[in-house]
Amino acid sequence: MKLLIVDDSLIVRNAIERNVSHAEISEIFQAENGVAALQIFFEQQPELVTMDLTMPHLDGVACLREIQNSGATASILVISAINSHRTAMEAVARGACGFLVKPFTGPELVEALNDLILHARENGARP
Amino acid sequence: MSDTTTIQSESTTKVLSHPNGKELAGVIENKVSRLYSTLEHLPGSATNLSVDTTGEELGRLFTQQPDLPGVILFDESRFTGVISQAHYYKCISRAFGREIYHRRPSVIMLAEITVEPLMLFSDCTIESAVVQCLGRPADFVYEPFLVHNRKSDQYRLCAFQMLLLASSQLAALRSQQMEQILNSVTDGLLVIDKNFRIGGEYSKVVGKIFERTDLGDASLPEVLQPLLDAVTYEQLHDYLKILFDPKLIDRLIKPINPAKQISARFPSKGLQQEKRVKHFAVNFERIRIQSEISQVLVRIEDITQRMDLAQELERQEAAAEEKLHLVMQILQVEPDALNRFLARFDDALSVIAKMFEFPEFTPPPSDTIHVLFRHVHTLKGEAALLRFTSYERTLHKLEDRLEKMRSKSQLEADDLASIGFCRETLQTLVDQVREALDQLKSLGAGARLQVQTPSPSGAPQAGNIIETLSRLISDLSARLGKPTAFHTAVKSSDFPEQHTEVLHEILIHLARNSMVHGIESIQERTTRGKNPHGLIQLDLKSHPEFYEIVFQDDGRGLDYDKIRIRVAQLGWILKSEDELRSAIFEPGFSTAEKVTDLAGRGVGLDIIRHILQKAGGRIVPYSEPGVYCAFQILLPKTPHSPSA
Repeated sequence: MKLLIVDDSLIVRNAIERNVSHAEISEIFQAENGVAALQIFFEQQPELVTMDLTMPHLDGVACLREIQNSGATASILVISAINSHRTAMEAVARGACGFLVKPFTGPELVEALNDLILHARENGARP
Repeated sequence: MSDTTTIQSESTTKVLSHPNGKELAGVIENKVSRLYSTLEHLPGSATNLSVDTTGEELGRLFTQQPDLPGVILFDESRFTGVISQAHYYKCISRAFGREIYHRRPSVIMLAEITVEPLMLFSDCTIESAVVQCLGRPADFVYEPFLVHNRKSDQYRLCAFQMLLLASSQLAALRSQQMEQILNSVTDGLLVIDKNFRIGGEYSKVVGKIFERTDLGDASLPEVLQPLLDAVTYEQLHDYLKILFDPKLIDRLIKPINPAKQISARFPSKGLQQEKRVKHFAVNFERIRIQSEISQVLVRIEDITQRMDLAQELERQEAAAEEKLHLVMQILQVEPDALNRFLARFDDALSVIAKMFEFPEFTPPPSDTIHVLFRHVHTLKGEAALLRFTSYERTLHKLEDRLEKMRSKSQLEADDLASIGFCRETLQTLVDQVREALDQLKSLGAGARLQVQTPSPSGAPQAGNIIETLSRLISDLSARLGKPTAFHTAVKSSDFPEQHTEVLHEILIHLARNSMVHGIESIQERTTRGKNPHGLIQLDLKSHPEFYEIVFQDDGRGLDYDKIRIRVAQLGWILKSEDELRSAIFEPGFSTAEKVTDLAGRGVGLDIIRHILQKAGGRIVPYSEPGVYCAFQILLPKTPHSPSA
């Protein structure tokens, strides 16, 4: 499975990537804004995405909307400092299937990613 | 055993003489006493017969033992089949049944049975056995079934009815156990379906939490709506919707649960006026059946006590810090000012004490509330002056309460509680200061403090009015962001001794008023072409008969238009400009748009007039809008005896 990490902070992107140890993940891509994220998403078609919500050049919710409109299916985990109920609800409506609230710990992230992989597998993603 | 037709019966076989529901239930209850019981505990019979046994012999056996589910036929030691009582009677009740079957070996009765008898192992659970029995073809559902004990390699025949009875017993036991659990858990547990309806089973605590007994089949949002504020309710409702979305990951939607900690307001009980607030922690666990979310388990924890404890702890810590701050503050305060402050507390407390002299539960006359209100207002001002900021806040709140009572035409019995609260608060505050003082004295700092127990008449030493005023003005300059200079040639010792206290009080009020209402912001002053820094001046003249004190600021002056509007709002009828000017000294008059802890309650100027009247003096305002506001205070030189 391919994983796309979308976050405008390099530190957060690397923190996520460092914690990815699951054998099922074959390739990891990083994007630092929504525009870059969509480009990689449509090129690589990853089964897994971690998505920040507040980013320059197309924010997370807009990004989710584009992915949803394209009809692509991916298991998308929102990793963000969620401070608005409305944003969270909108992310759910736009296809996010889970949330991890920043700041997170390593074990929390590993657990969340494992859940995400399980979710993708149930959705018919090939290992 | 091949040739014989002896009937073998296992010693452990329990055969009942009369089928009776209650008795059966009794037998099973003993055996199936624990959950997940297996067929091992189900009564059955091991009546093994040779295939040669005639139909007549079989008939005799069934007559003797009407509860026998059936017999097991063996050919030599080889299992051949099962003939149930029902099947036997079906065969012989046909035309010529007796003739056909009675003389012949009973094995021929097996010919019509097209289905192998169901054989289950003795370690099979009751539940699973029911499922397998019911899975048989419709004609055979009620047939007995074989139970094979693998350890002893023995077969028993069990009646399907027995199995059903055991199964219902288990269900009853389970629900009883569930009920016990639901009654004893300390958390509120309930289950909601897709329509957010609460299932029939919920823990006892849920009823206690919601203070309701009619929760079965109620809608959870409807139960919560009257208790929550609109925003929380909407958020929770949204969240309930997404809880039933199977595409979402169970654990990963918990972070957006808006009810992790919520406050619920319950209607007040009895005489209590305010709504009761409870704090809940609500957690949701989704129950998946296949890939759908069939139900959601809701766990509600009443965390009110925990929250209260945390708040109490916080409060205690704050109080400790407060005390330290108070001690530090006292060290910087002039002993005179502190004495006056303490004396004022005693004045306020004595007003309250008088109120309680009235017969029990008789509300005090409302003018005493005015007096108390003035005392508290003045105390607040002095607290600010002494930089006892927490006192200022507390007194401001107290003033709020009294304000509400002041506006009532008639006081009610409930207001007594408020006055009691007022007394308690004041007493606590004054005790705190005295306690801090004692501590300081014991530390040897008392030499500087020299605070005496104030006497009711305790006129403070003439001293530091000027110092006090200049400190107040510079304090407020910083707090309000309005840099203001204080110019005066008057020395504190110039003030007439008999009027020290009165002047002290009045000038503080005037200075606060100037700073809050009079002096404009730097920006406003600059736009108006005025010096960005404000100016307050004080002058004192001694005339043969009286003293004249003039207090003046160069702020926005009295806004006659605003005063006119306010006067009209209040419904006062005033004719001359003079009357208009003195309107500002009437109780309840204030044109300040918002109440701050500094000024703006329509109190202050009326206090000044009140105080002055008592001292036989008067006050006259002079003002030019946008330029200045001055107050001329006249006080008699001869002692004045105030009329009661």
